[in-house]
Amino acid sequence: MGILTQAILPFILLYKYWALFTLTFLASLAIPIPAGTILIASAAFASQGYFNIITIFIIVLIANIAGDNVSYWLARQYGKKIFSYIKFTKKILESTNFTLIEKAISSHPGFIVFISRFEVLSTLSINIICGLGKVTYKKFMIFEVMGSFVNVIFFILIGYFFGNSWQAVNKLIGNFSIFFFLFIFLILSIFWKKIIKNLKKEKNKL
Amino acid sequence: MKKYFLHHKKIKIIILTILCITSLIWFIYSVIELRRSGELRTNNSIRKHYAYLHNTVSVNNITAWMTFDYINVIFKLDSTYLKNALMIDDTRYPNIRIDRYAKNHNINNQVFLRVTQQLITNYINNKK
Repeated sequence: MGILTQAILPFILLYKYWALFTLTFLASLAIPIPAGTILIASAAFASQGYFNIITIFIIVLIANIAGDNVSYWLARQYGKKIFSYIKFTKKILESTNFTLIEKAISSHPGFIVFISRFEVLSTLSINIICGLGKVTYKKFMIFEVMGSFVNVIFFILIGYFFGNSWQAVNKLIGNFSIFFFLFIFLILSIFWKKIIKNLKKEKNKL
Repeated sequence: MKKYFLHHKKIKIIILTILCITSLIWFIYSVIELRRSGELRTNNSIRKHYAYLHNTVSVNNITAWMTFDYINVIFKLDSTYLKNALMIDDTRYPNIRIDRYAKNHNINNQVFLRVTQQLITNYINNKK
């Protein structure tokens, strides 16, 4: 078990649902906390009778949604102001590629918002882009809730059904996620020419 | 060669297929290895799984970062049993970690953990 996890799990055992809410909320703001591991472990504790599985589900779901709402609203209210103060981010904001990405997300927010819930950094970036762009709050919320729901259910079921073996399953997911990222990277590297071509086409349309 | 490699659609598909098969084999191998080492325990029947869960909590699973409260719940101990047996006078009991309690009272962590495990084993045996 990692040092970080060893420090976090006793915190959950001591402060129970409050700790779970706080940690999940912070993790949804991309603070480096192993949210998946925490959720699997908590569900495993629930399978041993220490926690209530339904309460865990509700609390984690609320924390996730609250965290995502914070980043969405901060980006929507102050995003452009803050980013235009910094030279580097200002350059990104004014770039054509960013406009293209913003446009792509605004036209098909559902799938992108839903899929992004499964990876912390992509969740935060999509929340910020949705906030900066013209994605309506209603649209954002519908797919955000759906994505978070599926994500939370997935980790809870793993922890609950594997019970005492949760550490082994967590190790398995960890190993597999490294492979998954390599796989995505390879797909992108294979199809990069097609992606660039499509982006250039869109650029010309603008 | 490079040009051929990047442009040929069949090669891309072959690479992806090989990757998919490799990842699947690797995943199955990891599951088998974890099951062999005893780290991963699964049960095909959900009903059996519930019964199995309660039987697999072992005193050897107790680690120093766990709290007395958690141990009391998972081993279904009387809430005052460990407090009396270990003569714990800390007001934070049972919401205190085993290693923190040992450290605060200048007790060797490993020895304290072993004594706790032994006491739980005795409790379970007496209950039977």
